[in-house]
Amino acid sequence: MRSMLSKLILAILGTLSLLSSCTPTPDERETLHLNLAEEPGIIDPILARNIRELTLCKQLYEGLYREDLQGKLTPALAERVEISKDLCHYTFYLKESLWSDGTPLTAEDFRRSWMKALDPHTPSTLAHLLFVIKNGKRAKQELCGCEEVKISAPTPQKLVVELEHPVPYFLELTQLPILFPSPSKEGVYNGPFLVERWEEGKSLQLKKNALYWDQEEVELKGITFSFLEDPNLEHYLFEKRELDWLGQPLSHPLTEELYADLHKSGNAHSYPILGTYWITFNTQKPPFDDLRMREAFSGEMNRLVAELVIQGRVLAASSPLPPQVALLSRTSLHPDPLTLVEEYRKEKGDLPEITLLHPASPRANKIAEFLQDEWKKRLHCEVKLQRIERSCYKEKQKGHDYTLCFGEWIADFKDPLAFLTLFTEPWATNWSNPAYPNLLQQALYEESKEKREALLTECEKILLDELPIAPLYHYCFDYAKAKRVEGVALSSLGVADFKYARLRE
Amino acid sequence: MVLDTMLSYIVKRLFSNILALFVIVTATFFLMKSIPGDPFTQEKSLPKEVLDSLYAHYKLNDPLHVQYGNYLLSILKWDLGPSFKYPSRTVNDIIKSGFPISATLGIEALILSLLFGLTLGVISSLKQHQWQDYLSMSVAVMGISIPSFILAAFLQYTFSIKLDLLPVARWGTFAQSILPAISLAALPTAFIARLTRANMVEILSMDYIKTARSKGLSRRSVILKHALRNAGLPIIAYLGNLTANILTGSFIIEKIFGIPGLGQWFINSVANRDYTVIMGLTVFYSILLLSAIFFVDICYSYFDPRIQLEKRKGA
Repeated sequence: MRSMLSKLILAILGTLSLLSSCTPTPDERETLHLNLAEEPGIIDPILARNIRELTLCKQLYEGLYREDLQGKLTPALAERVEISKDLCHYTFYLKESLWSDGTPLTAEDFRRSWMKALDPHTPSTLAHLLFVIKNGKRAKQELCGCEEVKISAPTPQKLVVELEHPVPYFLELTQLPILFPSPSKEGVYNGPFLVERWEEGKSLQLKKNALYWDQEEVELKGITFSFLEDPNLEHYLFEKRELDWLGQPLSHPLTEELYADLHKSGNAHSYPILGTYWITFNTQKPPFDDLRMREAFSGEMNRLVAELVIQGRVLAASSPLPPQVALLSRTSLHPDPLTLVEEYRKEKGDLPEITLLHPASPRANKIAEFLQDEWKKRLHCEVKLQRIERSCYKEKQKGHDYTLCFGEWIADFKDPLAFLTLFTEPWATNWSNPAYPNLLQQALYEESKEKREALLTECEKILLDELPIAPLYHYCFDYAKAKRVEGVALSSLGVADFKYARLRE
Repeated sequence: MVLDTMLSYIVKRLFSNILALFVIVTATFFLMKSIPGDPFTQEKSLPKEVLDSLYAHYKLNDPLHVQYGNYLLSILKWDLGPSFKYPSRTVNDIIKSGFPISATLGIEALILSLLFGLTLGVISSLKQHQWQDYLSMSVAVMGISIPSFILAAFLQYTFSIKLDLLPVARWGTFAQSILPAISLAALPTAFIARLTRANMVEILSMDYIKTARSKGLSRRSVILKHALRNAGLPIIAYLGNLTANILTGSFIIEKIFGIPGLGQWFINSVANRDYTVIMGLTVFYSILLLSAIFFVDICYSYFDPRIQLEKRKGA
């Protein structure tokens, strides 16, 4: 009896040690191991919804343009482009290229997938990026037929697009998955990699696409994605070298502690993103219907939050527009915000109750608590905090059911418009100024670059003067990567591109 | 006669279960619709035109009673619909791929907890107030008071990261299931151990045990045949509950060990407002749990001839 038991224990221990130590095959060593915090729901460029799915589409599909390692926009499937003087007509001449099943990729593929994204029956969440195409928005609203959308493919290599208004950033848009060709059948790709195996819930394996037009540039044999949600687990696997990447944009942001820890060993990095985090004032509700109060509450909170809460990894924001697209450079802070509050008190009596509504997330919690303290110290104002679940928070924000809340935006493309149009959306703020949409509309239809810029500058100035929001900081994405990984292109739109990635021995 | 009562009891229970299921479906549906947010509030805010077309596509603009009616119909057909978050998958697919994993993990944990729970319980009842008793009962108290996720993190850190004996995470091999199963089994093991000990102590002092011993039966057969069988009855009653707890409680363990089971889907679907998945999994879990409890009740009457089914009409 006893000897049987000990044999059994030995056998179990033996199998365990066998199971836990599996050596990587040579192919494994040329494969990048990544983790997506959430399994992608769908892999189709025109249906991709979030940064993880967009990143994945970038590896599997190719559009007219692509950002290179330095972030410069370079032609991909476009051989060349002709742009009309009024910036409303773009004619693309395509390179000859193939889908992964060997069929040729033509201008018709582009036309078909853009039409499909604009079809009212396609659940494409980023379709609004195609609204610059003439009649695109009307087609989505079922106000006109899809055939009236001005996209045509007169020859297999020629794609002609007519736009609603001059769009100087249209080439920028063509590097977004929503403007990639979507395959007409499942399991076909045209990007640097293709899907080899997708084990639902477990992993997604990509391998190099031999028919990719630029395949000499692709060094990786493949990429394996795991789907592990728990950030601690991800960290363990990174430490055990089972994962080559930790953190954004594929997974959760690194916590401050972890970032500091990894930074010491030289593994942690961050890259700036075209995104901004801010406090939104409800400009229709006292006390923030008064500009003085908005000014007082803005104060130097941006600098303090960036330096003290996020420990200097992010840039303090003085405008909703990040420096890469900002037009104005200034902020003359009010020297003494406390006097503003006192003036208000003298004039209108005691302050009404102020509540800062914020979503429950580690960083938002920290910032909210910090602001509450600072406002009390500096302005002698009591602010209550109300923390709620994310979806509920967004609903409240949409209904303007708040006095103060947080707002954030990450640009979809690199142009001031990506931020400025936001402030005409009723869900974003409760603020409105009739001059603002007018100026924006004028800028939209302006052909001259200088005049357009002047109009947009005017818009930015209105925002900075009227302060419907108090910008706090501009985003950056944090990640850690294994030392062997090189050549990952990180776009300021957040997406990572592993086309040029290499693994050092 | 016995068969007749059994049959009518089963039919009655079946009806009450269907009624319970209907109440659960209705309550979940309306509660779910009453929480703020929808499947599209998760990501970036979208322009109105796009949202309108999405709502129309997923028929979220229909009046609530129409959506409810459609949903009831689809349950009858057992077509639970596609997930909002994972449009290429239906809820039926999700159950098919996730449930076997959660069930395997659950059964492993169940076996572990029965095995160790009963053993610990019996040992400590036989060695009452000796060191074996104190040891097993302190283990049991620890099992009850340490939350499963702390135990899981501790086991993962010790056995995988420090000692490198077992895989840190993921699913597919037996080795990968050991730590999660132990973490999941700790609480029920402790509970069963305490339950067994209490029952055994009581039963061992009964007259019929003394009679059996005085008739010359061996100690072993008295304990196994006479004492344990009776002491085990409350444990069978507890099994229905336990199955429920293990299945719904596996969420956190699945997350810590990166296991693609059904528990994660259940929790995440609520956060994502993935309506079809919330409903589908609620219905699925309800059916499962109602049948587990039903089954346990029937077993109970089989193991304990003292129980008369007619007396349990109210149950």
